[in-house]
Amino acid sequence: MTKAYKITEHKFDAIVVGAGGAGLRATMGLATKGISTACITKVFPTRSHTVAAQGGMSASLGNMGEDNWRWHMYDTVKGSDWLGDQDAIEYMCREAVPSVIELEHYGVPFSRTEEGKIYQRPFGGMTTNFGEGTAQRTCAAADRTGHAILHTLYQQSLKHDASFFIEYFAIDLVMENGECKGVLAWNLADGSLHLFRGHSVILATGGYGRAYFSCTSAHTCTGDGNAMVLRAGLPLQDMEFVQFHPTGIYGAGCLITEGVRGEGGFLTNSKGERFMERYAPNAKDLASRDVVSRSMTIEIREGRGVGAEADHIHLHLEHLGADVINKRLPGIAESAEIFAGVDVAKEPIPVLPTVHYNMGGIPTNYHGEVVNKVGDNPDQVVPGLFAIGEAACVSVHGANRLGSNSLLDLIVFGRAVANRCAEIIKPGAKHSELAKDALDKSLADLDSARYADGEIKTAELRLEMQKVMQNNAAVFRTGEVLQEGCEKITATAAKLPDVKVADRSMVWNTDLVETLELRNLMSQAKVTMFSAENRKESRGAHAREDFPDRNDDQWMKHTLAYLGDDGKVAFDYRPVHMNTLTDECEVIPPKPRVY
Amino acid sequence: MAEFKLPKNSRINKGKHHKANGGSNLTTFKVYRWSPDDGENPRTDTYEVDLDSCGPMVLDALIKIKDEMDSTLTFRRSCREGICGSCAMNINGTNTLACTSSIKQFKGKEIAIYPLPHMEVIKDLVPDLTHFYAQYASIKPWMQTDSVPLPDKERLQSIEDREKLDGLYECILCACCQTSCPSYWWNGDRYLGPAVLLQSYRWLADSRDEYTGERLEELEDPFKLYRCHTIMNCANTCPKGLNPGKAIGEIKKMITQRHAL
Amino acid sequence: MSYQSDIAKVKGLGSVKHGFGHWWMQRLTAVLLVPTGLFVLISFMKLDGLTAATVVSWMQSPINSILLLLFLLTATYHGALGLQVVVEDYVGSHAFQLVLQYLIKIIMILLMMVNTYSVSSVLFG
Repeated sequence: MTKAYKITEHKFDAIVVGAGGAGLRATMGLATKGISTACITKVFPTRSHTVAAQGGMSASLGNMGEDNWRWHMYDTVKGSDWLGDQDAIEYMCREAVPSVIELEHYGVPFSRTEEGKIYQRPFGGMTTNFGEGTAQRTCAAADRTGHAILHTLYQQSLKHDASFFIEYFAIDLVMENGECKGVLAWNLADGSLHLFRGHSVILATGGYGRAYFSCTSAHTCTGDGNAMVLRAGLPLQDMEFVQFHPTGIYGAGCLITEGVRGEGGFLTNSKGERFMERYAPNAKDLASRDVVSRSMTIEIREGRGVGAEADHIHLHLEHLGADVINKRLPGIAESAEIFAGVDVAKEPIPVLPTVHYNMGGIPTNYHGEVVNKVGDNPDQVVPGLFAIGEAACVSVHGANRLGSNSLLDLIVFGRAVANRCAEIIKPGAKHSELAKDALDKSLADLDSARYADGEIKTAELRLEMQKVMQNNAAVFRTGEVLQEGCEKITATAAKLPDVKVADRSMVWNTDLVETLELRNLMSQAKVTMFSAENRKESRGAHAREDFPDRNDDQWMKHTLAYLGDDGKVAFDYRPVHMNTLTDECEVIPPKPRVY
Repeated sequence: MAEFKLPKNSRINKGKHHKANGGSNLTTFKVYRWSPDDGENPRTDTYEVDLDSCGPMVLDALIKIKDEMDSTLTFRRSCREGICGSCAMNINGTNTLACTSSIKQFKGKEIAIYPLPHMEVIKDLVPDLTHFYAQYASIKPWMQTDSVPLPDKERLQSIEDREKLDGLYECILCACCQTSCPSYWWNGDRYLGPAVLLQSYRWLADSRDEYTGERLEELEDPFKLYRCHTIMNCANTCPKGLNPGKAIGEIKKMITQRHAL
Repeated sequence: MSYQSDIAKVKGLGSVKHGFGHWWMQRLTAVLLVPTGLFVLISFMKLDGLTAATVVSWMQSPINSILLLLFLLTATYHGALGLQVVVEDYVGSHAFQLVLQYLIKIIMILLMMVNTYSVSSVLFG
């Protein structure tokens, strides 16, 4: 098989897979430290999905009122419903301030205050003084913050002459004796295969929103890194926690930022009632996302949805006035016009909770090193393998991520992983010989997908999977529905060998790319469904109607889900880190989570 | 350089006709196809799409074609909300993003889809943008300063100075304007083109950047900058409503000032 | 086939650091053409029939002749600048371009000499 496909080998010190916010921050961080780095990406860097982030990036700069990273830490722990690792959360919230300042120095065009400082807006779940007031903590470049940050990071990567391999699709990790040795990738432009050797392989491949039928994620959000990790026999963590963003445009699914509510927008039901006042008397429309999404779902379920079929909710920003809309939310006005045909200065936007973010992913410590549970050690580092961004589960978001903490996560851990690699890697160190058959399995899989000649179209099977996920792993879940979901997703996954690929070419064969992506999505869909069935409590984004309460005694632990070669899902657990990194803050003990 | 006739192996043949599987609200899509593998000339394939079971945008139709009729159809796409710039293509004669281009605007008439004009095609609707990206890199699109900012503080910028970046920083590098510009068609090897010049001006207009002089010096060239003949196709076609032509005008104004005029 | 890097291709021979002069002169001459052109046009329309005799007598006035000459020289120069751009834009072959640009310059100078000679010979003749 290796003979049939000619493989070009490249030797670098570090390999970054993915060029979104996290991948680019890591790439430029490594490049500035003089480590030879290759960044492999299946789309041109500025097309990565970070570009679609709107609202902003949280950091307790205190530009618009008093703030403290400890308050930010408290909010994040509470937002995570006490599933987040507190050492990692402390690290992230402390590093937030220098990270955002650094971005400004790189040239991110942040909006400004009267004093010329970075403008900050309120966001869901962000409070002052440990839950008392509303914090203005989210640093924004109008409502195009992700775009502004991603472009700036790409520009910095150009400045530091990082090596990019653009429109290369990563196929598999190359693992040997439990160590990661490199990545096998496919150059779409000329159809050639490439083996990238690296002492460190950093996965920054993002989430897998496309496992669902309706999501805010891009078509390319297929969690390829997560799936490669599963295939390498390593676990994914906390996959049951899938965030539904309260305000995806009804029908199209495109994101409407939480910043709309941060700037004063609010939700109403068919009676015109601001129903969030009932569910979250203090935070109201700025409660955390899982809370708002559930409240909206209940309103719709109880017959108070808007529209002809009473199946969605209205988001109002007419009262904000043209000036605020033009200055702070111009992109939203454009999206609402194009995708909902709505003039936001005059009418409300029809919205619906839509799959938006995966809290789960590849388990790592706060350096970005991938960890696995081996024997009694729940934090055993997998040598040579790192994960950052949405692909990773550090876990700073626990059971529910706060809005504007994800851009922060990308930057802080992208930076952390570059620092860590600089400590570990000896630049120019020799690469060990690989076993002759190291790539055989991956190439055989690729070849069989390329010549797949079954009965089912890739798109058809993908739709089947997406429908199962949408119906059986939704905002509210019950044991019965989840069990049915497990059966259905197992049956769907079993059809994978029967797909049909019509394009046999190796040059820009998107038919094959989509099939490989479907294989990746399918394994993640499966562990998501099984993990959700397995966790018998309600916590953060995982709301079980048959177990409506949080159960800290039994379930304050991370789920590790392994996918065997036989397609069976196996579970193990890691404890939540209930310790801080330094003694400059205190552990936040669990308590009921009300907004 | 100008070429007024396609080379022999680029002339477009008539392709296959794919009929819709039922449905009454049919619209015809004519799509440019070319594969590097078979040595054949390009062709236009025809697809009948039932709009009743299709999303509202041209990208939805392309995805429906790929999913249900012909999975070999090749195009770039990602965010589907007009922010990533992947699905730039020529739709009924206009360069735009397929994901924000509604089918309705064409009122049931046939919709012709081609790759971005005057670029080398890799496959079907996928053009080779390498040269465009290299041009972007060549203008040093990053903040250049001599002064060192305080490590723990942002550089200050007034609200008015920040507003000067509006209409510039929003560019998504989709290359719609770049490939709509006749000057770029004829002299794309040397002319930087509207998108890259817009990005140049984004840094010239940034009050935090300290290399205005050096940037202008690099730009003042009969080909890099002055190939712009203010045809303004760029501003007409930009799917984000930006005005590269105006930005180029501003650069020329700055150079005029530099010459003490 | 070339193994030259993308950035090398883009940078090419680098910036020549001029181009403003040409651009500026083209605009200056364009602006100058409007009043001088109008002057000549209106003057000719006012003449009692556009014959050699009426024109020659019109040109006997130094002001008329000088403005006419200014118009003719500006138009020639402006035209040459414009033609230069057309050749740069549309002619691919480097050698052919060189020849054309040379011809444009020579013809421009010749035309300017002819303009100057013709007008002054009428004025002083």
